[in-house]
Amino acid sequence: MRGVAITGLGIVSGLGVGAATHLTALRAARSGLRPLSLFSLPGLPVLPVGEVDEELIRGQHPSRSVALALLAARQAVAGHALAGEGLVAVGTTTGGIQESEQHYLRHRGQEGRPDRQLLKHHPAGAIADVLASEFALGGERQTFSTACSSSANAIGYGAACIRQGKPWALVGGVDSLCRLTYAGFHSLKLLSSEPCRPFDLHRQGLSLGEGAAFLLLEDEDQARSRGASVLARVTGWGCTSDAHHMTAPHPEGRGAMEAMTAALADAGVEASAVDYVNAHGTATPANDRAEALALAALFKPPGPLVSSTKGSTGHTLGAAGAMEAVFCVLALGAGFAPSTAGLTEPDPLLSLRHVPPGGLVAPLDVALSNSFGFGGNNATLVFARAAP
Amino acid sequence: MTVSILGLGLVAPGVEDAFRVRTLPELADGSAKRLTRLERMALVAAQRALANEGEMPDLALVFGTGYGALAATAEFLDGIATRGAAFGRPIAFQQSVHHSPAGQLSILLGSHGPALTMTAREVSGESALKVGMTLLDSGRSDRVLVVAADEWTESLAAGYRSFECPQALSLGEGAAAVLLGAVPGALSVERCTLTAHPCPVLRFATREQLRPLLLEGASGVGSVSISAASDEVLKAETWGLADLLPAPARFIDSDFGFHASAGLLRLVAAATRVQASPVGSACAVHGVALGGGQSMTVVRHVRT
Repeated sequence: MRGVAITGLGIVSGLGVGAATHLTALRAARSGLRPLSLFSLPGLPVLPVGEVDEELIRGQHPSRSVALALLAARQAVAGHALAGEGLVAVGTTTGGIQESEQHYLRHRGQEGRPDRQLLKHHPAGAIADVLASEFALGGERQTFSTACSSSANAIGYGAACIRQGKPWALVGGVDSLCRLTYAGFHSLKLLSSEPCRPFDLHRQGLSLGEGAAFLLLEDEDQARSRGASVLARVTGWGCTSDAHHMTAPHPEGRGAMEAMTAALADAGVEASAVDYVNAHGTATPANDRAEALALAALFKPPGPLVSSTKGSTGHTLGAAGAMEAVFCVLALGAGFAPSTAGLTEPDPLLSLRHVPPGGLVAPLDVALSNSFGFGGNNATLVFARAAP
Repeated sequence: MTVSILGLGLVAPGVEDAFRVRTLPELADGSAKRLTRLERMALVAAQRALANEGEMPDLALVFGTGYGALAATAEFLDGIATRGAAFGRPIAFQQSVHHSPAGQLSILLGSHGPALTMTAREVSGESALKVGMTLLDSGRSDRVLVVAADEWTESLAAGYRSFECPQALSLGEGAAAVLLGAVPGALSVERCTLTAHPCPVLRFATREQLRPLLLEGASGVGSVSISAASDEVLKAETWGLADLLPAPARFIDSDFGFHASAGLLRLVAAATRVQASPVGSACAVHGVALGGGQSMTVVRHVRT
């Protein structure tokens, strides 16, 4: 997958808003996790989450997910006029359920007409519709909903469409914190009582987060001919299924390894060329173990630098793949591998070359980002530093 | 490239069933017992499309759904509302995820290829078809099973009712499956175009917006399956096709009702009709979605 240029970035998370803010936060190994304040659920503990500061999106849109998506997408587009029939591809797990679940809990499936505005953006596909209207974009709209790999697949598909001739693709993902996922992950006993600690010996589980990230993709020659700054390139996409279990990964990370292998083949690079891996790294015992096994099977020692940025943002579900794509682009551009916030005592059973605390300044040419989801879905993206 | 249809599957309401799937066949596979109704509809359609195929471990799956497992979502929310937030049923949460049917299909079919779930309101089936064709075209798989399913629930019906728009929707449910391959076959998907128009989120595009793709897609084909999603859309489709000469035959597969996956059900119906017609026959299947989405898919009988 050569020649797909990334020419715009936008991001909002519990760390703040904008690429520069996030790079600064990653350099400082700052965590954006704090006690949940967006809503309360009596009977459940108030756990640390990556919650977006309300001031950043106040009054932007009645739907929290749409507001987050608009904020990130505007940064990615940055006023550029997108001509021709391109693609808007969004990844999301729950779309506008932050509002529609309030309607349901009040009216329990009845019409509840006085509150009907809460239902207006329930369909996950509505986010892409609003984005397209905001930027007056015609053409194809797609919404990927493959759980926690949603936006990684949106980016991969967007890059594939650029290779097939589309002039541009606005790709990314969004998810907001909501009662359904908070209570749902609690019911699965996957939430950590403390800020999550990916790959740590004492990891307990994940911390939820919210946010959005978008990337503007263009054909590289076309982007350079219009004088656009090429921030990095998307070079590979691989997606596979474990076909094993709905909520547990394959114990040896078989599907994960196959996704990474497929992505590297798509990029036309050897595993030895990978300098940095932004791992899925949710901090659940089973996920981290399976991913570590897959990485160890694919990369010969010492292997690439590995970190998980979920210790900083929390697990933002459908937005995670796009956020971590942005982090890979920032890492490649800055020559800086971010460390894993919350990792203080690496699990000795996981054979990984962790980025040292505080991060590492190093020339990085190729980065790989993993996103795995419910249903045994695995997606891997490969990014390359932009040629000067 | 060639995109052939190698298998078709359908789970649709009967003519007298008021747009609801009243009966589903028993599934022989014991592991399918815990599936939700939505997942069972999807699996039955998938098995029908794969009836003539052996094991395909590299099969790619693309699942389309507009609303996913709303019944499971409601069950989980009912649980936390009635028993307390700490007592939501984990299985209902897992099943509420849009990707759950695709995950179940990959497990039950033993497929390790890509598995994607697409959601695009009322053109979710067409959205899945388009992505499936791209997977084939980019060489990521040589067989792609496209499945789409949506279920009728009282809360969804209440949601549509609460907005009183658009008028005269017949909310239905069902599932369809299309096995695609990059090898010669009797039927081909000649093209699948997805586009969208600036439009309020609870409205369809205007007749002026819909007309160009309608005309482009229906030119040179003998028949058109129009969506007739509402009275207003039916009028727009009739108006949009009025100047086409020679006038194509028009089909309205209204027995399927209106739902997010209905486009793929109509495609299966169109493919079945075309296959029963002489080689060279084609049908253009038109789809519309609230929020401005529009699709046009052309299926052709290419060889006996």
